[in-house]
Amino acid sequence: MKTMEFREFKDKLFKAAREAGFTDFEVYYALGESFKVTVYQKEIDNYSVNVTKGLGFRGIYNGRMGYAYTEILDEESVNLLVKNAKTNAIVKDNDDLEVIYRGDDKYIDINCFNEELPKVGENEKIRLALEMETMALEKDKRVKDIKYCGIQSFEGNINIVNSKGLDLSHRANGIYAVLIPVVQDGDRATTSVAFKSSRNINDIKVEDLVNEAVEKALAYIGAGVVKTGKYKVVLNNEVASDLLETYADIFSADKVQKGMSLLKNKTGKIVGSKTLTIIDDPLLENGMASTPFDGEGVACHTKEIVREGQLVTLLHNLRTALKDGVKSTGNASRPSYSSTIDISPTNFYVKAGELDLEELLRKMQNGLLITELQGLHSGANTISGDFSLAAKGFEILNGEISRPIEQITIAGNFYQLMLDIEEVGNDIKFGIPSGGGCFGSPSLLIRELSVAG
Amino acid sequence: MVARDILEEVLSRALSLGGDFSEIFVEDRVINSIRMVNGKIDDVISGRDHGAGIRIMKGYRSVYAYTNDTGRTALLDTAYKAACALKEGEQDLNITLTERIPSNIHQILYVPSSVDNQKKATIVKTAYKAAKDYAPEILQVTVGYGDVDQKILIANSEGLLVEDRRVRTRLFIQSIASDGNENQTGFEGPGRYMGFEMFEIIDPEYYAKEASRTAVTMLHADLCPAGRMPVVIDNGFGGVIFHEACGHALEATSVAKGHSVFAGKIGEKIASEKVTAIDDGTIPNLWGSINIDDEGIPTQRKVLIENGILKTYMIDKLNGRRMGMAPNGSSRRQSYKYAPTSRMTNTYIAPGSDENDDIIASIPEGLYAKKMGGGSVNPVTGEFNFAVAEGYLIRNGKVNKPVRGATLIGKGSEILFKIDMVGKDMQMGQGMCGSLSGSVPTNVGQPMIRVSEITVGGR
Repeated sequence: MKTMEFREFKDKLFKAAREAGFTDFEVYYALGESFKVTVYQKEIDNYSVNVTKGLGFRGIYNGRMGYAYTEILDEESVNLLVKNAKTNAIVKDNDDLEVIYRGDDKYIDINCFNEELPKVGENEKIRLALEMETMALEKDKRVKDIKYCGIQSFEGNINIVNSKGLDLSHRANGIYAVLIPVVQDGDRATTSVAFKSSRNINDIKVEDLVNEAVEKALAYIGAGVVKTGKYKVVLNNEVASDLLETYADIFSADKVQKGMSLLKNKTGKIVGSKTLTIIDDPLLENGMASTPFDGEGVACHTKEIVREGQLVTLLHNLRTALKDGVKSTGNASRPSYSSTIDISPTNFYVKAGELDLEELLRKMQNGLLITELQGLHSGANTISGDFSLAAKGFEILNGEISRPIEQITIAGNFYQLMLDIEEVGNDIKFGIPSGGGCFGSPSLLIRELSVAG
Repeated sequence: MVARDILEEVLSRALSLGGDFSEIFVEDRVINSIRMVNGKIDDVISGRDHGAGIRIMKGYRSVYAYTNDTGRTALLDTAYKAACALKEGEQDLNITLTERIPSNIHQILYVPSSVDNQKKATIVKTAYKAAKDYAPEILQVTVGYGDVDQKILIANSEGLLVEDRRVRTRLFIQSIASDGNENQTGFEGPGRYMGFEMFEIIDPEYYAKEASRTAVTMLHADLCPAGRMPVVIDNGFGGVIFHEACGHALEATSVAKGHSVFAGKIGEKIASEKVTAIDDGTIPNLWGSINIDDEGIPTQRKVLIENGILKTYMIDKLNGRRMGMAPNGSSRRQSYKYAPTSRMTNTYIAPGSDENDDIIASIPEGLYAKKMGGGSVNPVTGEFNFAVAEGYLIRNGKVNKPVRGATLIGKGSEILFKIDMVGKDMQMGQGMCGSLSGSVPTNVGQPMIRVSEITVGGR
């Protein structure tokens, strides 16, 4: 489907929507291409090249917003979209006002598309993947196998066009590399993950990824357990950003309004320690979730969510903002044409402090350094804030790494954890972006967590 | 969905540059979802997913490409693009497809698209009211309803041509109980391979009250103590322990490359003799059931472990090649956007001979996990974890006070030997299982079991 065909489809759809009695309406059209190669034992293992498109329609009928989507842009879909959106608007009985947005005067132009990236051939990406596997296997004889070694790239374009005259488009691309080596230690195996995401292929430094992955996996060899009890803990940057991602929903005004977050009536109050500042930055240069406008077409801006422990604002879309009598923060999310409008952060991160990881460990003196968590999707309850998670890491004695530990759990409550951050490191690192944003954090020193061993 | 001559043309184009197997998977899916929060229908969306995935194999290598456009030109282009990834010399093949009609073991009475959205909304409202009215402490209830009508067509260069239609319906209830300072949750999510007739056997009010009961119980629960202890895991969704701890490691996806602790162990004792475990996609109208898998092979009942002895794995075509074993109807994918791989269907531990009362009475001090949350596993190391959604301490052989915030962790190969009592009443629970080929509906199940010792993560 060419862009002209999208325009033609949109015109037909808008005409049908108006005739069906919709007062305002909008289409969200997304086109995407992706490429992935994984290698195994010096050969291409899996290879995929994909093209997708989809169109989400929403419109106001009798004062309520109805949604429908399709992946086929034909005559039948025009009728189906209008009919389904209308039925869905009728079924809905939420009185919250939803609006189709007229648009802002100004959108900050940020470049999320690297023109050089599409010129990189598939052979080059395959070569990188093969090189990464070979280097990882040669790096250390204890590296017995590679569980995953792959390169992925994508490019996407979205259009939001509505009956109020809004007509926006945005395109982005990117490339990822992921490596998971398997290290054998007697009859026990250990894995680790190293990844890199960027818009520039030159940032994919195979040697760095191999060193990182192999060193991480080797460091766990001979891991034991620690005694059950309470410990001071340093969460390394990857673990801290995973936790932030898991609990990001508590900052959503929608979740707060629906009683699913304990941050109700907390705006302006202290929710974290003095050392904690959390920023949502949609305009971050090279940010993998950067965007000039949100899912409703509201212009995005950079803002502090938590400033030195104080909750400055929740994340809003137009509906929640209207309900709270504030302005939208430009965090309406539409991860796909098949989703309704929700709220999510963009590039969301804990502001860096001054100490590096070694200094954090020295400051802690005795405790645990946690470098891997498992079970975040099940062992972390975003509504209560409680978490109890399988973990790996190192025991720290007198400020130094003493030995690796595994088969332990760490347990606590995220709301309490924000208050218990004693020190924030300077080693900020972003994780792999998902539909819900891209999350980053430096390593964090936590006063106390419960540990089972 | 696509004419036979076009399929034949696409499959031979896919092999034109040297592959030894080609396959096309065409999908047309209609979904409906309704969500109610705060007593109001908050979110309703309907949609149509449509596309095709083309797969080519050459030895152990696999190439996958997909597109939304299922017209002849686009399919031929996609096939050629995939073929170019192989570039193993040219060949001109004529492929002739033979249409096969799978036997339908899962009767559907009411196709979702023929049921009015208002009727669906009524079910949602009934569940909402029952959950909200359960207790004054229930602060918030979210009820979700979803149905899927997936039509698929699979054809391959071995001549297979088969179509199927899968209809599934599911209800979700999440209750939040609050005392003003703390929130606790309860969840139920009954689902079936059925249309709207699911509500003739599933009472929304029962599940709604259950979700609220768990939330209120957990609100008044103490923190679970941490440490190693014996654990009793109840039936139903408790089966997630086998699914995570062992099921994933028995998928060919992990076994073929030796990335599983159970690789190369067929015929060996990998569990206590109390353990017999089965994966069965043929049980009529169950959530994880299928007529044919996503490679077009009829699903099977597979005894994975019999009295502790490893009998077989769940095998797909590609990994089966590496293992020198035939696929056994275990290949699944979320949609045309995913190449299929070996996955579970309805996986459960078979009933044993112990009485529930005896199992509880056998423990002086331990944990009773009445309801489980989700979990995950690293198949290479066998390390698993899963959350206890509703737990109680056991003291002197009796169920004592409720506790919250517990997680169970361990290694699959070790826990299988520690299952030393197995009850008689097997039940199943519904879940969505995420892995390489996306998220697929699966059932987990077991009778009540005792694990002699496991690490419990609490506070």
